[in-house]
Amino acid sequence: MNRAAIFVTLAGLAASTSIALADDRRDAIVADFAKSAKAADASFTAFSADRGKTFWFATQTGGKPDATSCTACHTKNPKGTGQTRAGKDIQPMAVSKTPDRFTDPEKVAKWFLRNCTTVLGRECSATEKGDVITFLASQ
Amino acid sequence: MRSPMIFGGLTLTACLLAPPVLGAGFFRSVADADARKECGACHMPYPPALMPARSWEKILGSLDSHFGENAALPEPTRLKILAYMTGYAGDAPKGNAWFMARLRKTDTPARITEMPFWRAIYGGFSLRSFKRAGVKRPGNCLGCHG
Repeated sequence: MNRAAIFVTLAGLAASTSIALADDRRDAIVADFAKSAKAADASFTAFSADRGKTFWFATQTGGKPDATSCTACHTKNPKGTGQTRAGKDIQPMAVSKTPDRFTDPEKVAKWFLRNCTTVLGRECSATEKGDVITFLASQ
Repeated sequence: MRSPMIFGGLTLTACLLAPPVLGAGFFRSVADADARKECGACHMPYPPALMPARSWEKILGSLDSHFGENAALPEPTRLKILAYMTGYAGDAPKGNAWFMARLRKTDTPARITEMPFWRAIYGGFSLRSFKRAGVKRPGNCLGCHG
């Protein structure tokens, strides 16, 4: 295979992956958070999957002592099944595994509010939310 | 070590017998779609007949600290679920008085496992024996009745 063919194949793979994960409803939710993030901090430019990843795995303070990280319930594998503190399964947060993640604005608002309160003892910022969605959409 | 193992065995046996005795139909009988969805997001949606109306009022009146979780709901959704749960509560006309057996009028349990009927049936089993039977928590009725 020559270089051009490899490039075309890779480009095709990248395109099909992003098509598989793209969803207008999720894009609208992220765009909304971007607007809020910009309003809160004029130097905001874009969400970052890396920042989202760091936040996702970080040990937080201010919340419940038995839930100090997103991973306490969602596990350290975003593609794996988590478990609520009441013992019920949580489908994977990785968009590649659960394609309708972050496509319902009410659901997104409800669970960020609840879970940020539980884990951080406060609401998450628009930047934190957008970063986390960007990270999980890349998984 | 011997007695927990015996209890574990008893629980497992009970688990095998439970579905024919009291079928999954009852535990899946939460008819209200909002109650099924919202309550069922974190745990099995409990049928309203398992507790009296005053228990559901207490629970649905303190969702912002629901057993340590913030489970707050938009007010219209909360009121709809409250109306359903109290309307079909154990002590409501459409409820099931069987589950109210031996419950004192002054008691307002917040957990199914605090109900006298539950304690009469399952009080002898240790927490460990439920875990061993794969039920995870005693309040997970569907672990056996599923």
